[in-house]
Amino acid sequence: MTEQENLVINKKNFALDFVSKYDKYLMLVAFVVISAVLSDKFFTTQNLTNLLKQNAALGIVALGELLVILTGGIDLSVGAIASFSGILVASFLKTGMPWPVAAILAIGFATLAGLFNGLMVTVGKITPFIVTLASMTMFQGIGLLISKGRQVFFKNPDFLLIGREYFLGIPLVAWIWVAMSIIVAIFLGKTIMGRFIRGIGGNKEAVRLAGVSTILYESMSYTISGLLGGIAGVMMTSRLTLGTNVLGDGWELTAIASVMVGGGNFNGGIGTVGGTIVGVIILGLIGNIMNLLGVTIYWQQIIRGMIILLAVLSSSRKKLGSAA
Amino acid sequence: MAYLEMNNITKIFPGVKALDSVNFELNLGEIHTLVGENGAGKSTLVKVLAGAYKRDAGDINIEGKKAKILTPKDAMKQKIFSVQQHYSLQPNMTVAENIKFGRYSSSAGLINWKGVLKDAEDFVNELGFGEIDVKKKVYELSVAEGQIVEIVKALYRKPKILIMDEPSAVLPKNDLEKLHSILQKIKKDIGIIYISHHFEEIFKISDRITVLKDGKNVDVVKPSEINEEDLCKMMVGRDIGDMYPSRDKDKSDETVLKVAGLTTRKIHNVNFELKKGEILGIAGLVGAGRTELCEALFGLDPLIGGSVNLKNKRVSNKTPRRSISNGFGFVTEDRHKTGLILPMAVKKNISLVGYKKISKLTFINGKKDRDAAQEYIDRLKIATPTMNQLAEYLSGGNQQKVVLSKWLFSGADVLLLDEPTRGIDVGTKAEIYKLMKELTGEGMSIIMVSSELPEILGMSDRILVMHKGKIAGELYPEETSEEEILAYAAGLKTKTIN
Repeated sequence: MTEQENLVINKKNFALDFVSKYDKYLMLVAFVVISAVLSDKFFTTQNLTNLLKQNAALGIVALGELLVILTGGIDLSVGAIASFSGILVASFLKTGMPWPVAAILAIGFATLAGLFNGLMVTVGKITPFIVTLASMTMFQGIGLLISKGRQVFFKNPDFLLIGREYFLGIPLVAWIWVAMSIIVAIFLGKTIMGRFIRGIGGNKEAVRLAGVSTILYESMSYTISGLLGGIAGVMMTSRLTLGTNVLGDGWELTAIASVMVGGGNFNGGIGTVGGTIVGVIILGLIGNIMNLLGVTIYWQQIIRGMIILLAVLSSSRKKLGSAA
Repeated sequence: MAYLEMNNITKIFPGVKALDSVNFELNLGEIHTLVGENGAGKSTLVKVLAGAYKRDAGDINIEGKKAKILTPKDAMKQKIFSVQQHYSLQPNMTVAENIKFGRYSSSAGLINWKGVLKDAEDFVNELGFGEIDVKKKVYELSVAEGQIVEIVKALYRKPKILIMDEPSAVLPKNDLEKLHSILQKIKKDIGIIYISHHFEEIFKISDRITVLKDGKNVDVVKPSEINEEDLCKMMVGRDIGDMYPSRDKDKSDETVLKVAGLTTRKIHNVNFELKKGEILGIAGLVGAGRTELCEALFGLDPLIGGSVNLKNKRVSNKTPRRSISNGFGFVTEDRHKTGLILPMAVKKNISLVGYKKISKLTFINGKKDRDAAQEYIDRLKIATPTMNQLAEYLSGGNQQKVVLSKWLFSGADVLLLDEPTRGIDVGTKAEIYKLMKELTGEGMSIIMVSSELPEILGMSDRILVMHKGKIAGELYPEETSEEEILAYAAGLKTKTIN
């Protein structure tokens, strides 16, 4: 019978399936090995710690981006939301506010910014690209307005510990990234809400006909993206020790690229937390190793772009080959 | 020697050998039908020929010479054109632009739009589809009209080999007959490959029939040498027995659903009752308002007037969520567009509607989720390597079973089935019919919309025929005929019911 034959073939292709299923992870291992061979400074504690510190905030932003891309949307405003939340937390701290209150307020406003995006997309029925392109400009503007276009200095040694503290030899910011990743992975894999968010990207109409409010869950993904952008902004502000409007510049594009490198797809419904983490690390590694080797920033950009294309090309070819 | 010879064609998808050394030949002047169950490899074979899929092994010879067909462009060079199940038209262009796409008449590099229109119009008239307005944009067309334009577009390119992938899945009966007569007219110097699930059609138009099963050749036969029963056995590989299960004699008198004066923008003053355990067939032409009736009942189209009573209680199904909690289920006619989440696992599709049964405060109970999926995979015999296989890799029949499972798992008193067996092979069809009987035996009531009159006659306990948004007649399958149903559907006969 068909079923049994299929199973036999499945076994034969097991090795191939394994490679195609875990290709991103294999790619990561390859990058680590290449980096270690190319530079003996790579496997030093200091370098690896730096790598984590530099990418933790971005990794958190990419998780939010993943949720939005899973619904078939895009969030171009996450970088601006992170900057805006950084300016807010710095400004609050400047008034002498206790740092937990300042951080929660800043993250709260960032969440509202995400909710705004979500409502414009769902209730306003405007294309996500346009909504978040416009709101990106708006959020940048609000940040500039609050800071009057200048850097915001504050004095709060406790707050600065977020960016400096270590736990078990690993930077606190990296722990926060790990925690957020676990939460988002559970949300996507083990809750009905996460399943609906993924389902909306796969087939919105089928989800709607299942009696599910697509407005609620689509808005939710943008709101969470705003929330995570806010957390990233606060973390980065602590590391930089000041509020600045350029904090999240370009983050949205790196976050989108990370999701894509990790196997995500703009058609929606496809993408994983594990893949996205790998995407962030691979893109971070490329920058790191090229810095160690002293490659100029111009070449870095060209090579980074090429690697993004190659990664996405390999996963899109895989998809084409399996179109049954 | 045949004009086209495909030898030992093999195509492997991850986990599935879709074609296993398949041979196929085609002469000019012949209509060669490809038959087989879903997943037998019919569509894959023609896609290999059209260059849409790259074959993993095998040769394609045209006029005895090796032909290089690896891309759609290669196929077009060999004058191979196909009319697909799915659209290849540009929705924002006019019919004329689509027909002439890439072949516009031009002068001095500028497109002569008047010429384009006139050429297209002449060609459409020549084929006998004069009712199609070539100035209309494609998105304004109905599905059937779109399919006709698709066919016209292929014929305009003067094909040597014309591939028709299941036109009967989308074309209504009268257009299908027109298509058959056109194919007979044009087949003189063309070889036509025709995929169909409909026996009536297969026997009517085929010169030869190639039967595939599980990606392998079974046989090549002439329609005069075989009867329906034997062909069916060849396709399924076993005797499926009676297609339609026998009707139960003793029916419950309990009225489950009472619809009075139901009116939306698309349907007018629809009245009917549905008994417990009854299958109510809804017949009618495309556009008669059958799907719209289901949509009105399921809360997808706002009511202008009328009432719906379920078990003597008035219900207001304003949204799908309300309809589901009131005990309605809706298997839509297009499983790809509205039924399934294709890039999602079979398991997750099955629990999509009844999600409350597998979760508590949004957290999924993994075991309950797996048990539910396994129960329905076993009960409906869904052929899938694992419950975690993505729905898109299943064959059409198995996909439809997943959609059915989804609604059965959530549980419904009234199940709306819109074209439940469209594009599904006979074996699976028989299984779905048997399942429907089981469900009504358990007390579920079914409203079944179908364009297939044998299905309407074979499955329904009672038939409503719709015409222009109204119910034109109520018939009983034992006392009526296909001709009578068609007469009501065409508006030639009406009988008012309460």
